[in-house]
Amino acid sequence: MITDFPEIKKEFHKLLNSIVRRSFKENSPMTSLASKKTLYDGDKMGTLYPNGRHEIRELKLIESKFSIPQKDIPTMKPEELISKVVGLATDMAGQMERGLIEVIEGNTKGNDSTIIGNPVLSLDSILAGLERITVNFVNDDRTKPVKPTIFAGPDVIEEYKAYISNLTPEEKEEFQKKEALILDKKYTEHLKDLESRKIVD
Amino acid sequence: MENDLTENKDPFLQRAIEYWLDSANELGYQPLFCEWLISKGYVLKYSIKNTNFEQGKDVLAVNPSGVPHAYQLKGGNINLNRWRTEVKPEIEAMIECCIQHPDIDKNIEHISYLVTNGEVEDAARVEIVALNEGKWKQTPLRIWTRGDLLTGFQGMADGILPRDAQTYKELIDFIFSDGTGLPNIARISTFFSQILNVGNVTAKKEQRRRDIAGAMLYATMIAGPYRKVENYDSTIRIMTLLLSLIFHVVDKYGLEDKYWIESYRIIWNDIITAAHLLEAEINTSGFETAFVSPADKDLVPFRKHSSVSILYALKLSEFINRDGAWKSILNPTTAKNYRESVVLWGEASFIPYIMIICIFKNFEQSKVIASEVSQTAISDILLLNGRNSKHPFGFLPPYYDIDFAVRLNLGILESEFEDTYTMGSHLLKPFIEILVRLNGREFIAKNWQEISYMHFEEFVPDDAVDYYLWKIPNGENLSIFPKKEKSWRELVEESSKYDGYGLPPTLKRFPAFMPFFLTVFPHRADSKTVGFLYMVSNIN
Repeated sequence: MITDFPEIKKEFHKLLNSIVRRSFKENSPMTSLASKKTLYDGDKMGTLYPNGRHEIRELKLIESKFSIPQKDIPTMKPEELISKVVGLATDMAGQMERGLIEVIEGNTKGNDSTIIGNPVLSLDSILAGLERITVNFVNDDRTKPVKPTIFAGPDVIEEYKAYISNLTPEEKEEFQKKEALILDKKYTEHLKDLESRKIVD
Repeated sequence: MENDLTENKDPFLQRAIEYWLDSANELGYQPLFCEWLISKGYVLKYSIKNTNFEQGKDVLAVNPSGVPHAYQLKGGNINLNRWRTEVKPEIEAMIECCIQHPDIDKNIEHISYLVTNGEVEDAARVEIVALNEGKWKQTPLRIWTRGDLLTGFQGMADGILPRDAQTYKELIDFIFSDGTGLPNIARISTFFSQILNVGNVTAKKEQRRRDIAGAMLYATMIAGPYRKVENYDSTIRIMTLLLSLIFHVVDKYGLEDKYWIESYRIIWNDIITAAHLLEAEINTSGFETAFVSPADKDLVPFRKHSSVSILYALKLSEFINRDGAWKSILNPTTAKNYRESVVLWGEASFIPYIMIICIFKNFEQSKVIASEVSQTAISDILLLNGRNSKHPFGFLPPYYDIDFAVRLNLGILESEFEDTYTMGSHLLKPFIEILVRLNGREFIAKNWQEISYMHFEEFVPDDAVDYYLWKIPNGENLSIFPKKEKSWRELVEESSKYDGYGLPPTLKRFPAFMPFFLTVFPHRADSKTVGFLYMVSNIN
């Protein structure tokens, strides 16, 4: 064979891997926000809930691949390779996000945390959503609510941005008042929840 | 014993064994020497190198015909001067003092051996021949030197060879590794698993006996670089790993004692001997000699932690075995030295706390220490992993070892670490259960609010015997969400149920091994193992 440079190739692959990771992160906003853990044992995940329900889930494999015909390698430009690598990362990120949405849908189906219908993203729908979820407060401080993050498709986000920019100061003030009222209620619920966490008997 | 010359067809392996034997001292080859004896049908009676009670006999064994054999083990060449000043007095004691052992009839004359992995030089040999023809005529001294040992040890490798070229490469890497560091347990585990045919369900029991002997050979070789520099900590880790995998094979394939019990005794004796040597070193010299490089300013705390973890395992092991030597931990200077050497770098680093608690909980005057230690562990975990933690990732789970923690701490990891482990913990539940057993209701009640936000992580293997595997392929990564409102009675009931159920039979049979097992396998510390350890360390 013609002498190779295996160590340099290793470094090259490391570089490609880092591009994959970065690209994956950029294209998986929900997954990127979730805390990441590495599993070293086993083939399944399980959850044992306080009510005794035991849920077991098999691990799901996410994979993607691309190939480069040997004849194309000599003339391949770096940006073409990067584009393929980014495509791979984007595909994996899409699979991951879709998987996550399936899990969320599975967990929210049939309970009160879903708003029926297809509401337009607006201040009213945000307040309606806020009403339905549990809100945490950093250090149990009313002034530090952990507000939820909105995930939506790019079109919806663009529409929402336009909608926000057209709001009048009065509408914004009205929203803040309503939000504060909901958060007051949520804070009361939070304190009640805190009190319920105790040892009895 | 006849030294049957083995025609080993693997010159590479012969060279490797030769290299190892030439670099070992008598403590280094003693376990393998014992294993060799039992592979020839001898029954080992004791093997006690490094004590003052041996009367010249390091190893005592009875041959298949019932004749006792005594061995004095030496390392390196024996010239006339060494023979006269160091060796001869011990040999005289060996030959002249009858064997004091309840299983051995004093009326049967024993056969004495001088064994060395070097040579007995001519002048010394001439003197031995003269003594054998004169004073020792009735019970002449027999000599085994390098060539005899080499032939015997090489014979043990017959048919138990690394499977492929890659495994050979691994072996070479291990044999030439820098013995001053920690061994790569994950890699060595893969190697041992191959030699022990862990996954081969069709192997006959006799084959498994030979596999165990082969694994002993390779383990002794792999531990060689560490023994050479008296790195007892690492030696113990390798031998503990070996014993864990042997136990796995024993439980998985239902091996009767005759196939492995002697090997267990040899390895266990080796672990305890090395632990005593480590204890003597630390108690004598402390850690002052550890500072040899500017990097040690950052590294010595981790080095101390690693060594002291072994010593805590030794003390608890002695305690479980009702060996009074555990009491050295009550010495205020020793206790302070050990306690101050524990550095919390991840959940695995809490294992020494479990050892302290298991001993101190037994006495009225020290029960408060056991309580305080468990409270400290719970508080520290809540602080770093709890809902109000500001730490970027929380305590590393017990799957991460001290080497990873050091690299992470110094910012020299090869790849970015993006994991987050806050809001969960592997060891919080076992520590809560400990404190419940210690009746620490007040502390738990005060902290339950924060505890209830956490999820308890544990791994449940599909098959209990897999606890011994470094990495378990089949099982459930379970997250347990505690109840917001928890009944104390329920906590007490839950904490008292860990009597060994769901654990491998050998782990229950040899509870004194468990402290070492959990020190080397901290990722196997869960409610079952810690609860069982707590139970077997009860003296009442």
